[in-house]
Amino acid sequence: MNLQVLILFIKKHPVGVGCAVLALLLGVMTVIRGGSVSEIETALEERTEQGNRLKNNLRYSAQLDEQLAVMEQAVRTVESKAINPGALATNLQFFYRLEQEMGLTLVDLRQGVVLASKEPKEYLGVPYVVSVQGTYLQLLNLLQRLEQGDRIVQFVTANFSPARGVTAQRSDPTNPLLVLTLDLVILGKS
Amino acid sequence: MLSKLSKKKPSNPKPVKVPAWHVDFRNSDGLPDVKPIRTSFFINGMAAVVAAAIAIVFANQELQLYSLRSQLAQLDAQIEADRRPSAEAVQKFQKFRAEEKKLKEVLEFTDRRIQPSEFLLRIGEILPENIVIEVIDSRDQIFTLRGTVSGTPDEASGFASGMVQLLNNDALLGPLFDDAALTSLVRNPTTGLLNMEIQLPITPKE
Repeated sequence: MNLQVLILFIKKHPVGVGCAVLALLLGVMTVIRGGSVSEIETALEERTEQGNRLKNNLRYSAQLDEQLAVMEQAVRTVESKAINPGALATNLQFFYRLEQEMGLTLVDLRQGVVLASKEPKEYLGVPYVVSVQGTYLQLLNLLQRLEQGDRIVQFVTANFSPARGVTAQRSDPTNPLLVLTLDLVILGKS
Repeated sequence: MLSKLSKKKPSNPKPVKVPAWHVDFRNSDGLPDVKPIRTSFFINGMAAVVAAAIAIVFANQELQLYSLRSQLAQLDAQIEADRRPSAEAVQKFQKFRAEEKKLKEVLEFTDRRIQPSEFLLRIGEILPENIVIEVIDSRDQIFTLRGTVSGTPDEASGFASGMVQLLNNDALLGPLFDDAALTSLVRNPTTGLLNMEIQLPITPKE
């Protein structure tokens, strides 16, 4: 009975029923496909972010090759100047060579114990006590060689004092010998 | 008789009107719609408008989907193209950071406000004639100058304070040290000259 009424209604309003069915189908499709829009939008946001990140990586790395090359060169220079704390003879040889080249007299030269660092570090400091006797100019040259030379040096303490007493110095100013006592730390490889 | 008849009043003067009625034998469903605008026109029209509206929404959504998908495809292609060079750049940057860390460590190691030789040379340049520096000591971020001031005690104390002023006002040394201070000025019993000590604490970096 109901089916007959329905068929009759459809026969009576074929366009209206057709449109209603179409609207229903399209509505269902809209709802179903609407979910994929939000999914794609989310994916698009993620991809945009990822794309921007990659683009930024490329943009900021435009001069990275040159910068890296400069950095590597600088590190190579540092590595060539850093000493090996275990190579005691080679390390002391550096000071003996300076003594010979500059006409100084090494009064005292000792390599200290390397203190372990709490944090893991690329380099460590090798302590030295150096006492040198020479003229003002010789000692000044020595300081400059240590500051800009083949080793990377940190000056902990430095003391310039006359090699002789003040009175003796004044009585014979032709022999102005000074003693430079240094507590140094030289950069070493860990 | 007539008077009797005329005197008799009617018992029900208003007659009850019964509406005329008949059985409605019309078959409404079978009859044609004779309204100026047929009902089916409204029903069909309404349904068509609704269907069209939903179709427009659906079409718009599909268009949006198409646009989003094509954007996504473009982005995917771009990402794919950028991925390798970006990974290489990241790798290089990590290497750069590692090298930078080493250099920073070295810079921290060598960081100092003034080189000892620089200090020595500057002191030599500005030292007044009547002051002789005998000891220069540098430790714990303090440079100490010990020396002798020539002249009478009165003059010598003036020279010593002049030296302190000189150090504080010096263009190179002044900014590097907190105020230089005369920490000792005593007469040497042997020579009769005044021994002085000046301390220059290094100004910490900000």
